[in-house]
Amino acid sequence: MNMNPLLTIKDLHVSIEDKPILRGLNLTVNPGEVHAIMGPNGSGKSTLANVLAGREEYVVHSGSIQYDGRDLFGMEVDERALAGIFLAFQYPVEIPGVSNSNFLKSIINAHRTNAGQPELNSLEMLKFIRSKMAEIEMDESLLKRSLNDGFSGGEKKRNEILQMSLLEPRLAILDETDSGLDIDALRIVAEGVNRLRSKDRAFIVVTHYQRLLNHIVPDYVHVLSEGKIVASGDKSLALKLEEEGYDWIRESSQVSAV
Amino acid sequence: MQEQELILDHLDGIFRDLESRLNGATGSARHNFHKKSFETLRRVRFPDRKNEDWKYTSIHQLMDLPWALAGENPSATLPNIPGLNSLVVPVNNGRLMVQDIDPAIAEAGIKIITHEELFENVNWRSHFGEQATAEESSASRAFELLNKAFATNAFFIEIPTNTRLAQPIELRFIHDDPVDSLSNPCYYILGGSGCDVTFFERYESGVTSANALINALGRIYLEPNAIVRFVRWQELSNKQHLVYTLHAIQQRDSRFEMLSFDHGGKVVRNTIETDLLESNTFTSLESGYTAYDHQAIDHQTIIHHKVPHCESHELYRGILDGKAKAAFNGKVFVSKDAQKTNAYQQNDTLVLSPFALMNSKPQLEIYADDVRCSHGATIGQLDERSVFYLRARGISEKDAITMLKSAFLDVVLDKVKQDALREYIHSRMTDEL
Repeated sequence: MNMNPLLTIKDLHVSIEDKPILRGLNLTVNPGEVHAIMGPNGSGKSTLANVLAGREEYVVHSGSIQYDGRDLFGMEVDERALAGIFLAFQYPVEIPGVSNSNFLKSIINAHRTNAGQPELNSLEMLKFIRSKMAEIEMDESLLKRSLNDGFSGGEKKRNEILQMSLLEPRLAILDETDSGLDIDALRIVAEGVNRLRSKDRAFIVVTHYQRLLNHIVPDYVHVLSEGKIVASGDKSLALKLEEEGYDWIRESSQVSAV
Repeated sequence: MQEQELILDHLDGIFRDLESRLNGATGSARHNFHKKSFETLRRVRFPDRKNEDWKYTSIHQLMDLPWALAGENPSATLPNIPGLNSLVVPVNNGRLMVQDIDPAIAEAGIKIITHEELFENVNWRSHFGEQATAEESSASRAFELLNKAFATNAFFIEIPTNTRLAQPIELRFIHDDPVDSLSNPCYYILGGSGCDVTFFERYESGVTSANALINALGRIYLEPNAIVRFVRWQELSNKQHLVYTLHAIQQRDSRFEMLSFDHGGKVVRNTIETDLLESNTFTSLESGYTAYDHQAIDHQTIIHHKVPHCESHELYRGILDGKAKAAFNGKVFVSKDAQKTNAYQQNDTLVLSPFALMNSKPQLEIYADDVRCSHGATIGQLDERSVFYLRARGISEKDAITMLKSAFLDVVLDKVKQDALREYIHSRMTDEL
């Protein structure tokens, strides 16, 4: 392959509160690819997502992560975001007092300033945000509310996808974005992701359920178990998991990382 | 206490000096009022540390002043708030600057009565006379007595029935004296039946850097169906103390709203007391404040629910850092007859330094059995998960923290309806966050 990988994770060992979670994880993600990470509860899926975003509670014991040729561990949380890493949170935080519209303006302008672009004026900003909201059928009244404050589960997830659409990241990590969504919301979220798919952008889709992958068709499916990738394959692997559960994985414990 | 005796003797000298300059008014109603107040103060004395109401205020720091009455400073001035277009009533070092009052106030039919005419004024006498001259025999009210003894420039704003004023009336209190001093601003407001007015009460220091105690006293009377809104802003210097006492009395169907912001001063003591005399009143007391370094701020609220079907809301939110100390004591008294009372109280504090201290004390005394009353207090640090969320979107750690602190205050600040005023206070308060 002559293109440079966007993300290279090598032999990653991570623990939280002295409890080992990731135990030798390897993963390579190239631009343009969609990787689904599946696995039973407690296998380390969300840990992987949070470590990539830079959450400090997780202790990295060994291993390396290269993002776009840089050592990810040398980058601050906000630096990672500005460099194009986006985590769609499993549980987006509610922040009363910060209006959603001001928050969106701040993050857009932070990214523009970082990229050496001029900030958008209020009118341009509103137009830009509205157009993206329309795409994901999001109610504009949510702009005036405090950030995620009192939002329903579906509204919170849509707000995550809205932020992703506005920031156009290079590596988007979706941490169980499908959980708790009804079928319409799921479709809208998936369409939001599919609209952003391009040859320069990669996705890591962490999910518990195969049904999201009917909408966001992955290039690779990985099964995470006890902190390692124990099986990798194409989208048919997700279907097999759906039918047969995770037990066969635990039994065979075959390693075939991509 | 030795210290008290010295201070009271010292005040005695000042009071005699004041009396000697009465110039023919000796024995007048005014003189008797001051004299009686001073004598009561001598008798009840200042509170000491054992006084429960003053447990968290550093009375020593307040007493540790070479008390002299602030001199005149007619030229002291503050810039207008850009875009606010308020009608200014300037009060310099406790003195009403009569000639500088915005003429639009009189044009709107609002009367401002000066101290000389106060005791002869029929409306003042009927609404405030009894209360003002009542014997307050408790040390807890010593600073009110001090004000009444020395406030020779009190004034009375009379809002006629059904007056509706879009522009806020700015009560602009400036303390600007080159020597260490005490000022006693005092105002009375009568909100006539059916009126709807907003006051912007502003305490700021002038250019001087001397120590000071500003001992302010306000009394408001709301007639039936009156709406009186207050936005109070305090940004005194770190050498100025403030003791602020406001007492509101509400008749039926009236509405009193206070949005109070403190962002300065060395020792600050704010007391707001409301008497709900008749049914169907609404009262809200909300506050956002900061205290840094060695600042101390103490909020006392007292709400007397005396009759049925009244509603009160309290929300106090503060940010403490450095070695700041703060207190909130929210008293709500619900009398036996005050059925169907709704009284809600909440006090939230962000304590950002291990050396800062918050004392939160809800005090609800409920004697009626069919009421809705609630209180809550939270004291904590900034939510790490919120900081992470903002940073994960590309906002720097510093900006994320500023954003969250600002958001904490905005919960109250967003209720200020005047855009120019809200933006002014917001920018002042977030400047140092």
